[in-house]
Amino acid sequence: MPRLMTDPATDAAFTAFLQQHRAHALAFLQRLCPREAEDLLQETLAKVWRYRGSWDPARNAAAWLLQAAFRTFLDQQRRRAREVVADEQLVAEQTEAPACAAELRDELTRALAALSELERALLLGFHGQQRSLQELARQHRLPLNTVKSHLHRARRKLAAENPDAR
Amino acid sequence: MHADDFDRALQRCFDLRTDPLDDPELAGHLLAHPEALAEFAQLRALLRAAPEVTAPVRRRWPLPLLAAAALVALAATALWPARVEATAPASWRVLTSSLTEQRAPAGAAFAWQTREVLVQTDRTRLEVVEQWSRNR
Repeated sequence: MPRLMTDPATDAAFTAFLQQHRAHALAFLQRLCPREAEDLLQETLAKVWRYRGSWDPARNAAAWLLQAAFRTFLDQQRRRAREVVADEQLVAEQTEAPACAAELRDELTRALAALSELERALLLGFHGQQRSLQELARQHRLPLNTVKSHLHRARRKLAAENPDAR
Repeated sequence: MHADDFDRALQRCFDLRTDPLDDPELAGHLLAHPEALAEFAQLRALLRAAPEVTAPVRRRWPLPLLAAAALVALAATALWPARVEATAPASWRVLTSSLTEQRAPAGAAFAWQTREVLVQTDRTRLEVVEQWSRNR
């Protein structure tokens, strides 16, 4: 239940909390949905402000904010799935490069440097050049399951390259 | 869903080229474990950026081209006119030396000439000649 009345001290602490974690939430949304991250953040902030009564600074408050942002994103995805997207908007979405694309490319380039040569070749072959697992297995003369294992390990290493964790 | 099960299901989604967020179970797990959200979003975004990143290409020269280049380099080295650098020996050795008293020029009490031969071959002779005099 949304708490409609809060004391001014809590409101001030909550405002300070939002200011502190706003950039983190925006970065998270930009990774999920770069083109609409700002809109989703505004929607998230409005939502958590209404529910600020359930905010507990003693718990992992940053994760709580990301959870709210993720919920907002999922809601938008569900709405989007029900909507008929106009052709023009679709074309615009497909051609316009997101603002953080260059930043992501740099991050990926850095993360790839931490992989072994085989892991890098498999990851870029599968996700970059859209080659099948079977093709990659033939190319590298490896069993299919070995290719999968290397690919899974490469993805785990990429996931560990979390800029927020640095 | 246990973390290991989540990881397996996530990898399966990527292997099948489907968006893990289209899987309600995976999305539900992420909602229940917000501490995993940042890492998941990072991985999903990086994999989506992969087509835009070209692999650092290691150039492999074809073997015939390498062999041809080596032959050309060898021929050029063999046919290149040899240029002999004049190099001094590590330590000079005086082969002969002579001291000659000369007629003293005007204003000088006496004069000498010393001559030291350092190199002597059929075609080459290198010597150091010093001439000195003392004033009256």
